[in-house]
Amino acid sequence: MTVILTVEDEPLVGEYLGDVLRDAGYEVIAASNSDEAIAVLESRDDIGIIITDVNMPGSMDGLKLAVAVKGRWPPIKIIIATGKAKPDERQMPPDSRFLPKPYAPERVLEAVRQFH
Amino acid sequence: MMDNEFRTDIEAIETIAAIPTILNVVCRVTGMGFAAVARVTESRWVCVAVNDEINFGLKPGGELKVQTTICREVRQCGDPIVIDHVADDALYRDHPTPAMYGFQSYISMPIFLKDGGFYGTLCAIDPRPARLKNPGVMGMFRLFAQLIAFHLDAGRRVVTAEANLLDARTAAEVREQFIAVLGHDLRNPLASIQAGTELLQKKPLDAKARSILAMMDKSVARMAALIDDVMDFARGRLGAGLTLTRSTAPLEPVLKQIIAELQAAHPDRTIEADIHLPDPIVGDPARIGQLLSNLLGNALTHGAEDKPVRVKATTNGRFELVVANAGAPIPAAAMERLFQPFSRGQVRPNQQGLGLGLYIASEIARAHGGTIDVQFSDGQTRFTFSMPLDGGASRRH
Repeated sequence: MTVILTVEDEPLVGEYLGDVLRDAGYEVIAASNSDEAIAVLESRDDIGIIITDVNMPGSMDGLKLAVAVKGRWPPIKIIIATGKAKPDERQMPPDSRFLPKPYAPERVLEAVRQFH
Repeated sequence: MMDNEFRTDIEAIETIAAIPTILNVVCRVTGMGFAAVARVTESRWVCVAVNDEINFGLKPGGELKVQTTICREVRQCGDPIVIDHVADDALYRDHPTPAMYGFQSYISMPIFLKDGGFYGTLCAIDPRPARLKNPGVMGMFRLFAQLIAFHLDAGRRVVTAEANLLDARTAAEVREQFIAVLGHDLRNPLASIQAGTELLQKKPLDAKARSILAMMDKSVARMAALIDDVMDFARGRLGAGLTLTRSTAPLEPVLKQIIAELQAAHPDRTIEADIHLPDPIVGDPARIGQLLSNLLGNALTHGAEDKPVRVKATTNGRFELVVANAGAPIPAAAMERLFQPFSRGQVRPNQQGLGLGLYIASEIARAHGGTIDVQFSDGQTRFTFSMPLDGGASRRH
């Protein structure tokens, strides 16, 4: 089964997102900011999908993280989540998907399933 | 050397088309060779406009030492000073200024702005004597000084009005940004609490814990609705108004979804829905859903708890949405302010909102070219939203 990396700075929201994905049978690794996410990606090579929040404290927001991931690990599928308006397509890396927040289980799983 | 203050003064004078004519007429009528408008302050004498036919040598921006000018005395006493012939003038015969600048005739008329402030002078000099001390010349100078002041005041008002307009625009933008950021920041922790209750609901819990979670969920939903209301209110009132995203997407699923959500939040109440929409409708489905949510929430809050709330949606040339509840009629006093912001009825404790729900519903109706009416009959309070099938799209500017 695909391993999914979630990047979310609100602990309860991150936990909830993880729960939704685990209940659907996915293996989930949780990171709470971009630096943690990069560290995870550097330490293992089985991550297939990354779901990242846009507004996060730290050195990179979700959009910058998405671009960085696309550059270093091109095969990884990217889902960008935000409670604000959908980001400009030009800011999102090619083939990435947008997911509205708050996370609704069916929307989350629909977005993930589009990738495999 | 000119600082900005005087540069602005010169620019302001340059915009007054009548100034060159005024200075020219002054020279023609008096026979004097030099006429100028001078900005005179406590410490400076700066020429802001000039008609120089005698090569006196001053240009706009040119400055005289204010201590050496007679205009300084005009500033101090507020009255015009007029010398027909320096050599014959008992007061100015031995004054150093005429000798210094080499003139025999002199006139300086104060220019007072509307607020009473002293601006400067309209003045003229000539190496020859001139006939100035007569009502004709004096009256002309006085009138021209008033005219210049009038134009300067008008110019200042325009500049101030433009600045205010700019301020208002900037303020509106800042407010919009503030609202957006505030809304987002308030929603984040709320989403966190909601995620927490969802997580807990999956755990084995006793009945008491389940009921606490259900209450927390209700509070979260109410808080989320309040944030939405405040943001809509702020946008509508302070910003660009409610914006619609019109589409022909079917309304029925949206309306059913809203009813299901409110039913879930009020499991002990009965909501009867009758939705029949054969004709296509143009509108903003999310906004119309919000309108229903507000009307339905209002009916559940104020209606009799043991009677059903009815929702009916139809198309018959127009789109019509009726929400009816049983219970006491709305008091006449509340009726008048019903659709005003912050109008709150007497409700059960802990049900109090901000009183924005009906206001926002009416704004949504208005944006769609529609109306909301209230009627009471047969023990039923009935809110009716009615709009054209094109959702007001034809009236759009």
